[in-house]
Amino acid sequence: MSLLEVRHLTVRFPIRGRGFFAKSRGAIHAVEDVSFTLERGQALGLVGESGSGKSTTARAIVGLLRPTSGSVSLDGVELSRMSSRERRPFRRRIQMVFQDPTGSLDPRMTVGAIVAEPLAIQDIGTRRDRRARASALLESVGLDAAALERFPHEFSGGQRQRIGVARALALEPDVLVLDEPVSALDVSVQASIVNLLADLRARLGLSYLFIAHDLAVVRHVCERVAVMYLGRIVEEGPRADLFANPRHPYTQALLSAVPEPDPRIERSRERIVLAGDPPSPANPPSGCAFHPRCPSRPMVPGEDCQTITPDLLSFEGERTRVACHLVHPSKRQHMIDG
Amino acid sequence: MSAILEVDDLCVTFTSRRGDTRAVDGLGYVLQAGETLGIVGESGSGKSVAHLAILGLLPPNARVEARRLAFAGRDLLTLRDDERRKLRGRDMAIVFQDPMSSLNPLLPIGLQLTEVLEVHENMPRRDARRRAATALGDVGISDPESRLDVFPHEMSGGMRQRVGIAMALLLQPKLLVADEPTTALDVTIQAQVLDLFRDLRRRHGTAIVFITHSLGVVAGTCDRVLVLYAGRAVEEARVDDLFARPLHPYTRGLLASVPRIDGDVTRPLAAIPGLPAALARSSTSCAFAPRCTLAEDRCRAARPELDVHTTATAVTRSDAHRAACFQAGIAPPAEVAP
Repeated sequence: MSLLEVRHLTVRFPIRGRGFFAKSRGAIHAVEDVSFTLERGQALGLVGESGSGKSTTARAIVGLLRPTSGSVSLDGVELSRMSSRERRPFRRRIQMVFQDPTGSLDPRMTVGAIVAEPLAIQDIGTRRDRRARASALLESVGLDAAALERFPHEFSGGQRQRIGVARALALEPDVLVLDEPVSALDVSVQASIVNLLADLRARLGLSYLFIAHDLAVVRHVCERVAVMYLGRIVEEGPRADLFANPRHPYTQALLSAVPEPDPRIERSRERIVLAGDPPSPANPPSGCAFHPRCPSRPMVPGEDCQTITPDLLSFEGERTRVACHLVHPSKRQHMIDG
Repeated sequence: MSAILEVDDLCVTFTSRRGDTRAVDGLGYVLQAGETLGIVGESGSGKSVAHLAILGLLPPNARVEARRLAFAGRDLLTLRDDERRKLRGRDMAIVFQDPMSSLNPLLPIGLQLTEVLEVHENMPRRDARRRAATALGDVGISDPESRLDVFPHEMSGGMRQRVGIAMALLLQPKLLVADEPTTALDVTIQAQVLDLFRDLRRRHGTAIVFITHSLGVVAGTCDRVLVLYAGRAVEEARVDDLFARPLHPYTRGLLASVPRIDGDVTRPLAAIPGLPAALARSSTSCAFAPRCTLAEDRCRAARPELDVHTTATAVTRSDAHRAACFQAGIAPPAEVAP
């Protein structure tokens, strides 16, 4: 059994007209039919551009918002339909680290109180125990116990992110959901947080759902990677396969767009530059959501890409899944036969 | 080649009741016509402040001093405000990270573009409209005529940045300062905008100062690079020389701390210890010394100047590879992945 299993997760936000009696005018399709599993001790990277639904997926998994349909299970127990009270004992097992280390820490609380707060809420230990635990947690993320009495504003961005990680670890979770944990940090500081996360995972046997838009960072942290586009996973597979041999035209474009800190590579590389912007999730294109921008699409009338949403199907054994008609050309034949 | 911008010993000091804060401390460089110069640094390095000072866009509590500050041979320091305003917009333009900061949210973009032409060139409105539409087409916006009536909030981030660039280029400036123009953009949109900058230089020969924290962006767009740390340039080189043979320990540290898309994932990233120095420090030591693994007594006793270290590819004086480090010549060559 997988530690975390997400099945057919869909999150839609209704768009309402003005006024009290206004009818719903459709919906933002933030997350559509997303399925994946996270094994114990594994790190799964979720990459995609703004509006791809990666943060919404994260929020649905930790229970910050209720999915429209689909399920989220932890050790086989379904969480997504539970009431807030029923969910409480499970909540401690999935914890979240946010992007903005300033906005996610209460400026009026001492660091000690911030890190110990989850313990207080779950009513674990005495005040004294909690304080000792907070001190140990801070030490485990590379901060001095002297930090206990200080306030968030006295720390740099990187140190604040360490505090956020310490708080997330307070309840000894199985899964950490990290939403862009290093993207607000300076380059030289980013590296130390990435190293800290790798170290903590190895030491504590944690599992990560790691969300980021920086593909090189994701590759460094995660052994599996899922690529999202307009609410759907378009490709998912082991890091080595996905980066060396991307199958989906969007993954290919995304990888080719990453600027590399080497002028020789930059001058010689063939870059796939996509035309236009990602479409609005309020009105996703028919068929494959990527088809209007897809450089590999055959320009023939009536092609599948325009009409049929491709399923995320296994490719080459079971290791990689791809949602593209061009990668699974036999699909159409199937449908005609069937 | 002629110099478009000459900066010598530029200092910017912010005065407040709590005392003076020096954000830029002795910055100097020469930008040739048609050249793209990258300015790299972390937050607080002074890279933006220096260029706002050059354009005369800082608030009154900023004191700007320089031995020389000249645009196309004209001394900017002695220029009257109205003369400088005329120069800005027509001959020198700026593109900001957030295009919303330069666009009026209450006006359709067409009006904002034509206003520039009406004010600077006394162009009749109809001609201005035609010219504005052409400018939008030039930056890759499809159906430019109808886009003139669109408001900024109706456009995507990438589209707004294109409008910002189109506006900056309307009067075909000789100098374009781009301040983190792609930082807020998704990677595939960033690729489009970077293409635009390369194209711009090819077609119009615009001299560009490209301010960024991303070494990958620099590698793909710039001819020469200046690395800033705590308000000072610590290294200056042609882009190939900088990436192939970084001389300053800070530059080396930056290059080593960025994860590569094909890097070794089993090794931790090489983080630079300590925190970025927020502001210029005393003039009696190297600002990087507290974080530098090579620092010796002399690094804390005197401040190294930006000195020439000859390299094979340096042909002219402006090509020279310079570094502000006592150990730059002796230090072992960079341990940066090839």
